[in-house]
Amino acid sequence: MEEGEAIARWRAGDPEGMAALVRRYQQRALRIAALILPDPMQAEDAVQEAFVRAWRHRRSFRPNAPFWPWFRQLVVHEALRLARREGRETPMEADSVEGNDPDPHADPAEQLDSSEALAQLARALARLSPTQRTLVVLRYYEGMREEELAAALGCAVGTVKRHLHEARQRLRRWLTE
Amino acid sequence: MEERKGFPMDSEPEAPLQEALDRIARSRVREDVDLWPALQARLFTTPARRIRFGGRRAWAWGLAGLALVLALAGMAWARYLWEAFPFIGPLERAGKARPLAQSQRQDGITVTLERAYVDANRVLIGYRVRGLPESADTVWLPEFTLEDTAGHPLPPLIRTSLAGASEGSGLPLLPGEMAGVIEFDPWALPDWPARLPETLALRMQVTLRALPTVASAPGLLRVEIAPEAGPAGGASETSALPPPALPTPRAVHTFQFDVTVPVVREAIVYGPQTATARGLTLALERWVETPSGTRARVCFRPPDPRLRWTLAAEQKFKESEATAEGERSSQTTQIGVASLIQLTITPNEGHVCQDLFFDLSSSGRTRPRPTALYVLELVGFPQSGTPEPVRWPGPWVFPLPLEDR
Repeated sequence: MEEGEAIARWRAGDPEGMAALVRRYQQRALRIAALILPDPMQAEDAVQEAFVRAWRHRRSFRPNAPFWPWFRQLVVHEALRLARREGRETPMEADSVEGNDPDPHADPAEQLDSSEALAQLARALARLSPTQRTLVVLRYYEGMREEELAAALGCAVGTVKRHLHEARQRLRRWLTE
Repeated sequence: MEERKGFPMDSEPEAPLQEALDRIARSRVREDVDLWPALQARLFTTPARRIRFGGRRAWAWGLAGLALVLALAGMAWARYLWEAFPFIGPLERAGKARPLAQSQRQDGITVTLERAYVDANRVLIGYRVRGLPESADTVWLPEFTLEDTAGHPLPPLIRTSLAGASEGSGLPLLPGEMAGVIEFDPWALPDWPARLPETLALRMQVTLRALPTVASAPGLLRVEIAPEAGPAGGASETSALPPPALPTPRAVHTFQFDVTVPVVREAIVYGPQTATARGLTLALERWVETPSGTRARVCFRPPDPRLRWTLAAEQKFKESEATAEGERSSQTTQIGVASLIQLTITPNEGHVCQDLFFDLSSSGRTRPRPTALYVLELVGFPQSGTPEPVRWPGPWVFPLPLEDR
């Protein structure tokens, strides 16, 4: 079933349309959720809840709009909600990175091929606050622009820039520890 | 602070970080995960119950759950299992599903038909499989056929299943077990539902195929996505997906059951009537209310036969408190579930028929009485290319006379 047909059927309340959208987007959604929520079970919960919300609010979906950005918003919202429930946001001030720049000659990018480096990156991601982790995932995995991130998270572009900057600093430091 | 070029969190280049994140994400998400059955259960049954498939921790939970339930509850767990499934769950709670307990065993694999329900609108069979050999690179794919004793096939409508253990649902399914409910269409039988028999004798064949998993057969996922076959005898419009090429099975087991199931003959049936809007006439060929829900068949000559047509409809109530998701509200409509599976064409007259399902989520409960069926619009989709659906607005109104009941 083509996406346009699936969306039209889903909006009309046809489970076949819903099924087609679930199977088209569940993997992509699960991967985003799994980066925000390291527990795969929680990631499944978040995506399942996002699909339920998508079904219940399908009438608010603008016809002819792309489905993925709209649905991604629901996934991020649910994942962030679960992440915040599991662990408190790490206050920015509590782990300030100012003046703590790591070895400027180290290049973690060269190490990302090894599984140990991947594990290190995963651990570093998990240490970020839920908001910072979400921003990193959306910025570098989904390729969203800072303006889009601001709209998605309902904050100012400057706030996004600040969070991303601090997240990058933290990741850089943790990856070279 | 100036960031050093080449660091993966710099704005450029981003590819190494994106690739690393992708590898982390893929390592955390099973390729064969399918959320649809669980979502289907949550969205189209009441009460909403979250079902999750498989999972690493699920094994331990399933084992513990099974031991506890077997020790404490005997047959109660079976009822609990079937209450958790969509469609048959409300009938199970209402005591209308019939226990079958017919088992067959081959090479350590046991297939049991545990539940059956037949009324004018649907045939439901609940099955359980035990003893499937567990292997990381093998998945077991069940297939089902059902026919009456005269050899008339009953096409499958909806299939819902659980595999392995599931701590999300709390159901006592072990690794190597699967359970599910298959809904078949009795409207394919001659004289159905005009003359409902006391019992229906059926022959069900269950085929279990052990197939390579996704890792060794990338196309396997599509097997589970493909819709069930359409109704026999009509040119089905259900084949939106071409039949997938199955990998060579590593093992095949076939089980055949002969069962006779009492027919729940409670039904309110309205005969044909027509309605015209904007120069197009629609026929409500049949309206059938049963304990398992309401089903209607609407037929029309498509405005453009090159398009694939479906429709949006809702039933109106005199004093309604039902919504499409089975929740109480002040709305006075219920949106029908139009199933593509049911879309058939009668080649001789060029008509398209669409079946609508209502009340699936409220089976077994007292339901408000519908006073009319409103077909709101027809929607035609191009057969190929980027679809720009064509809309043919109605409404077409079919009154349902309450005083006749």
